[in-house]
Amino acid sequence: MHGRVKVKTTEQQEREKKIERDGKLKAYRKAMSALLSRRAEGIKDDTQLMVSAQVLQSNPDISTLWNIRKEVLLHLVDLGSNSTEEADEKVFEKDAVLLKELDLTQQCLMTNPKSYGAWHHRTWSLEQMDNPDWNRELALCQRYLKLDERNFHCWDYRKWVAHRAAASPQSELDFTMEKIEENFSNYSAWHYRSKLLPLIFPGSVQDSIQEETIHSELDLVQNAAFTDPEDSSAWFYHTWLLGRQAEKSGIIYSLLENGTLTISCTEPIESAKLNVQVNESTENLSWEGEEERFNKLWTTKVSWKEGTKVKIFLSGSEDQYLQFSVDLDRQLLLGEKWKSTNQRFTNLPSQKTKPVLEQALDNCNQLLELEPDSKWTLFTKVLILLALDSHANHQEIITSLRNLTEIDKPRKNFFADLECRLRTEHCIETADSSTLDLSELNETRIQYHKQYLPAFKLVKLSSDK
Amino acid sequence: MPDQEDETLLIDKHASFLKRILLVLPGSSAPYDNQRVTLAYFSVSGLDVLNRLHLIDDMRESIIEWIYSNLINCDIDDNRYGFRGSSTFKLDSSDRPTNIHDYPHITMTYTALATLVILGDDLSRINGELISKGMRDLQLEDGSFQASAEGGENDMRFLYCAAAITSFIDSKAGIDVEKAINYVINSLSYEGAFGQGPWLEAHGGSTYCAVAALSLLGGLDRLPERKIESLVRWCVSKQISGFQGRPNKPEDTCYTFWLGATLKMLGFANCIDWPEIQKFILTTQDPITGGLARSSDICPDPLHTYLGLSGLSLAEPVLSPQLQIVDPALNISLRAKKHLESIHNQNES
Repeated sequence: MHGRVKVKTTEQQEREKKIERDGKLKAYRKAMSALLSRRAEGIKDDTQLMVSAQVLQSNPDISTLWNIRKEVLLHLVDLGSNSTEEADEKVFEKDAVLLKELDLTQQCLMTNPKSYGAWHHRTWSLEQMDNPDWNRELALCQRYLKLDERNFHCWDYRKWVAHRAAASPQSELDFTMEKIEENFSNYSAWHYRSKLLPLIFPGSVQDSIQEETIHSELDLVQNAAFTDPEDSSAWFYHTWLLGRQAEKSGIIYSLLENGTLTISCTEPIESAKLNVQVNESTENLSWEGEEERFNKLWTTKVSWKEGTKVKIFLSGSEDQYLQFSVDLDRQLLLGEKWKSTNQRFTNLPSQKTKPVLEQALDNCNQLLELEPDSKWTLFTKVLILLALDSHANHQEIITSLRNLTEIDKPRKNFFADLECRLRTEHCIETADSSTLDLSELNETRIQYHKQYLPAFKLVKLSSDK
Repeated sequence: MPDQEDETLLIDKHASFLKRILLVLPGSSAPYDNQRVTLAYFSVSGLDVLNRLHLIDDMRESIIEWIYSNLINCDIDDNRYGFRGSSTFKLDSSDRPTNIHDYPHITMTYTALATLVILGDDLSRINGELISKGMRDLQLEDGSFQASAEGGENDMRFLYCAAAITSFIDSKAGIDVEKAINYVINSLSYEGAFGQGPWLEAHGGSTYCAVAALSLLGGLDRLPERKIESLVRWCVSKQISGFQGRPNKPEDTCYTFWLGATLKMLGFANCIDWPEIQKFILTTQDPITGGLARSSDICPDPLHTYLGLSGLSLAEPVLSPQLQIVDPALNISLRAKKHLESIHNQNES
């Protein structure tokens, strides 16, 4: 619903408007009735095109009308190709007929640039044509994006056109650069860039980007962010470049105690992915977990004799296994994904990335000196501090988050929640082998990374308890 | 406009506004002529959320019959079973397709089923198997859905409708769940939220559709914790006073539901300032006609009225106890959802 603006009108204007509205309504009803009854009689002609065009110009989202048009058009084109008359052929030549559709959709889009129906019909028309003019379409996109650069219908359409025109990702990247140079706050351009970069400069992990490219992008986006610190789009892009990458799923630990085997993973997985080999042959175990299908913690009952050789791994990660010989005591085996000061939730940056982050931090601090209440800057600073050294900067991170709860009040619970999460991570990383001390959190129960709990013999919560 | 300080939610005015829609629509609603089932849904569900369903007690049967009159029946080997948007393209009184362009539309099927359940219908006249069959036909290779076998665009909106329909008919036979989940995951943008499809920028509406679909299809666990972190951050950063749908866009009442419900499903509904959201919504309230609008300078409409109210019902802590709380994934009241569950339990026994 696109909304009618409230406008004060005199009585006379009201009456005139009513007459106009009534007229439009009558016209609409008459047109629909004519269209459908003629269609029912099997008529597929120019009149159908004319009448549907009238209705579509004010109601471009009635998809059925576009479909009626498609039928008529295909019929006329068919007539043209089967015709022996030269005159007929000219009139019904495919591309000529479809060019009119481009004109019509363009008219519809001028008043309704977000009409799904109009964009879709344009796509269909071009697909039917023998010689579509892709450059014309790119120029059309250019015009519409000038009017509203956030029109995602147009961006989607543009991407499709670029693909059909066999434009290279590099040329599309250059296009985004043009847009950004025109206006740093070109939000959709940043977005398009985020999709093109992994294609042109792929990193080692799927969907990632080469380190050098990340560095040059950081440089670019900082210009944008500092030109207008209130514009969140640049900060989000900045955050994404720095961001904590999702971890590949892996085993945190296994615990064998009193006939119960527990396996803990970083992400929820299906029990079918758990592989347990006993004396080198696969065991079929029935697993239990809090949820039915996906869990981070799975348990099962076993009755293994002392000395049994056990090997545990996840499907798809056979090289990261845990191996032990059963004995009667509590047996905790720490896996690849166990967290400590050396292997943290957010690891230290590479040698190349460190100076880039330090520069970014410096820039943020400078900006904060001028604008201490700039919430995006302060939040980005938190993320940079985290990325640089989550331990050395722990206190400053917490202080900044507290600060954010003051300067960005609507989101204070969000920052409090993030503080809780980061403190939990810090406690887990610095815990000794048997005790997890969460008392500094002032919580009565652990909220994050619960799958770590069973590994500890003692968990301290709020000091009151 | 009256002083903002004294504004409260005008429950009865909104109820009148929504009831009026069922009786008469202004000429400006002509573009929605072929989607009137959705308008019925906004009205009926809205009245339910306002605890004013009794106002249409006398119309209940006729509304149910009107909805069913838009059910297209078909043979087992045809894939045209489902609801059309209104009588606009229904050319005779047959329950079969009445002309070559008489097709069901997935959004109409979702909202029709929802409205029936809210009104207490037991869906016994619905053939779930034929719905599933028709739906399967609409799913594309990439996992997304088109709205209608007649053709048209495909994106997150219709994927959500498909997921919602599986809940109403209590069967996932109509969806290739894996493919659907993959389409959703592939639509994550660098900002951490979801676009209408891969390559598109994150948007409040498509983010809702994505998260709700994952929730309904059992796929929420497929989002790694780090992704949920950035998703929540994106959602909470959309609050200015009211919610905006994308960065650098104006606030709009309907995002109260799209984003409020998303945060609710993720368990983070307490991470925004609800009193501030309500303050914004009240500036869009029309004290004469009732109804809520997109923003304070626009006339109210059924969609924004309903989504403003259903969104507000999700406030944490509760702001307007007079409102019935909705189920965030299905967007019907918890009461209506209970009724749906009882229908399914009946069918099982």
